[in-house]
Amino acid sequence: MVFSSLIFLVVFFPLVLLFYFSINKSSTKNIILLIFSLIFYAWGEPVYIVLMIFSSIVDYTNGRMIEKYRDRSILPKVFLVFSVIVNLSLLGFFKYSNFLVGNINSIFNTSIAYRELRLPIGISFYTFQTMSYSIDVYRNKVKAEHNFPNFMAYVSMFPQLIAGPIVRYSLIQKELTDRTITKRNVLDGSIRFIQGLAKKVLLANNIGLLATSIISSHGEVSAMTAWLGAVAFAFQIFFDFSGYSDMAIGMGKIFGFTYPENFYYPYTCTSITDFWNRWHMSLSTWFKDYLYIPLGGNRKGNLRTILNLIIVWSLTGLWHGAAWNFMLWGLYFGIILIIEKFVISSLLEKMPVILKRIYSLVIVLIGWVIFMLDTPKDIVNYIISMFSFGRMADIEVLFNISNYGVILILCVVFSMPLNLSQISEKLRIPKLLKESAYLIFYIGIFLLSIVYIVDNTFNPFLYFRF
Amino acid sequence: MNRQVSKTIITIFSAAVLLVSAALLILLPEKTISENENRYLAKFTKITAENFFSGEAMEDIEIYINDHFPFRDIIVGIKSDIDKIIGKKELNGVYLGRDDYLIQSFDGYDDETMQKHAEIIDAFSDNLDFSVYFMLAPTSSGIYSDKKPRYNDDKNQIEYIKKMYDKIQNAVKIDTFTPLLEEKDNKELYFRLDHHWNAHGAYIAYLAFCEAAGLRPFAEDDFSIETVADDFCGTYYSKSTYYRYKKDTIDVYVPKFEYDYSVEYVKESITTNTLYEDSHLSTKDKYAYFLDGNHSLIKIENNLIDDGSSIAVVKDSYANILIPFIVNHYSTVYVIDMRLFTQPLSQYIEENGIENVLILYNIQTIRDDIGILRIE
Repeated sequence: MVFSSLIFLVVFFPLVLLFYFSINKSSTKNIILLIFSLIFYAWGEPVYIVLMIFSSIVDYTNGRMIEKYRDRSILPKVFLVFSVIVNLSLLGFFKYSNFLVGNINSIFNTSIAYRELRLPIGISFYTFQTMSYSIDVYRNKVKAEHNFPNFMAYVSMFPQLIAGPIVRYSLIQKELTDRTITKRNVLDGSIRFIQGLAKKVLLANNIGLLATSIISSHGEVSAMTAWLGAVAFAFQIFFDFSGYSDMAIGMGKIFGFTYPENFYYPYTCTSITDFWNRWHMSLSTWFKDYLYIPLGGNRKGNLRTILNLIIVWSLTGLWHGAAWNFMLWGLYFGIILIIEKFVISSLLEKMPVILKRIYSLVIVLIGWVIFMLDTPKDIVNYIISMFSFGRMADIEVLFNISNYGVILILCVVFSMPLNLSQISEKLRIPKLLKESAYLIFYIGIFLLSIVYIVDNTFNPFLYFRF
Repeated sequence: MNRQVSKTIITIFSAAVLLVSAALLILLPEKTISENENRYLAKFTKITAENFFSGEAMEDIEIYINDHFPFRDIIVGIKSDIDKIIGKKELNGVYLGRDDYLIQSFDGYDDETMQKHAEIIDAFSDNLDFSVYFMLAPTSSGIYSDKKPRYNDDKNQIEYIKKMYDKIQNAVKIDTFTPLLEEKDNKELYFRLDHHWNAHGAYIAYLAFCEAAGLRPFAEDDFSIETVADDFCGTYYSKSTYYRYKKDTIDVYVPKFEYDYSVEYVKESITTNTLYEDSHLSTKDKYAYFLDGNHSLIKIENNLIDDGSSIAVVKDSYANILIPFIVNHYSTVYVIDMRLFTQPLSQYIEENGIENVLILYNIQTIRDDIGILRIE
């Protein structure tokens, strides 16, 4: 079940709210959330629910054990290692075994048999959450959770279960047992949800049609068409992903939880380092806190720093999907980050902002080409097309721009921070007019989203490989 | 009014929309078909352990809710309106053309498939017992390039037709493209909202066929043109979900001369004396008015011709509107749809002593047609 579906909006979500708000006690509310989250998860994959429950039990038990035997020298570490091994094995088996065996077979010309496993949705998100919990308990950053339903509710929490943000236990520990639901938060959460829904349904899905048509055309495309395809994909994945995050954060607010922000206008970045401070922030900080820093970060000399960056970014890439192009995508960013850190940092500083932006966006767009195409051959051909200035434009560019011009402009506008209240103040727009515009805008985008969901000829779920 | 009030109104309004939709979904009577989209709507499936654990039951429920969402038809139409307003000129592969024309974009006919089809037709035509005519008809996309939106990257149909014809040696190839192109400014030759040619287009194709087959065609004056429907919304209308263009009229060429046909739907064991089935004019699929849509085998006797001449038309639905012209030249016309016809074709033709075969497909659907692969 995805948030941008009628079954979610018209049946599931209203039912959750009905039960949730007819009960006062926090612990009972958690059980309601838990039950609905399990239904939500079971919706597409009833079998894999066992996996999630198993993962929760393991980490719940480990957390308690680490706490109980905190004073014994080696035991806490044993439990921690056990937790990490179990989580990584689950992830490894269900997400990467096909990939691994496939590669072994092709490299060594063997024919090890393997069953194509369907990837359990959201496994990359919840294993990372439970792992971070065990590590935090071990590091004494959080107290172990004693109430299993509360813990399970945290792991399975449906708003952020399938597409993030990655919520660390430390962040919502307090709210799990003691949260206040205010009218203000419910309203803000609703607005945030509508924003996310509109981003996904109106912007991402529509610009996605353009991206898909260019990517799937395979044949020779002109340079401008190739760039247009990359730009369209960049907008699609941004509005899709950040739209999901907005909906998650909004629902969290309605339920009384504070989830971390996940995107901060990534396409206004002025360097690739800056981009990764703005893109999927809950993932990049996770890798930083639980991998990069434990590896020694930048404190063990330049060579070690470079090695650490390579490791972290290859794995970040691989986290996005079990395929070489994702690994390559991660490595690509790793290498550029290393170059930015050690080679061109002073040059970057001196560059005018406009050049910094162009530089960053070109790098990011080429990154998306690696991300969106499966095989090295397709990637290379596509990048060649982008720089084949001999075939600059064709009729397709004009047709695509005339078809998607309005959507493209909207995408550009909504990827930039707009300080509307400041603008309206400058223009001295009367308050009543301003409020009416606000009202009409949100009601408008909500209704439009419903209209576009009803005719859902194109409503892809992009994170099935995460 | 302050921001808090606005947010409250938005929240309550949105929640109300969702709840009212849910209520209507339950309360409104269940529809079985979508006329506009020309398809059956999903039925509510029973949930079993098997389809539950495979996840299929949930998928079905989601499709059910989508299909039966209150006012779905209207909402789908509104969506296309908005798409048009923001500049979309192509919806679900159909161009929103000029002069109320919807035109499906033509994305080519790959070499490999074309070669295979050409070999099948050539091999079939290589015999001495009957003569084979091959007609590969353009669609409106090939003829009405000036009605398509600017800058479209539609493939050029004439190139594909020529390429296909060059590959075929043993059949008489009939060019309908040139005469249709010549006539396009005089008359509407295709339905504006459907993928078929209309009676005028079919008449042009009939003239081309007569020339190739050495027949003397009836003049246009020999027919009275009657309009049998003026509210036809064809396949492009359904596919594009754009409902604003003016509806199509269906014209029929009724002979002024005397005629007497026996039309036998062989598999169904039904015989009538008309080429037209009025009952379809009150449904969505009005093109089925011509020869009752697609049947595996229709045998048409012209009771006023007794020279024993015969032709088999091996065809897709483009032929259904053309056959009413051809029946005036043969004692017997066999209408064969290879998608449904199960006997070996050559054998059937020889057994019945059929002298001529017309193979008629349109360039848009031939590529994916499964019937053509069974011609032998």
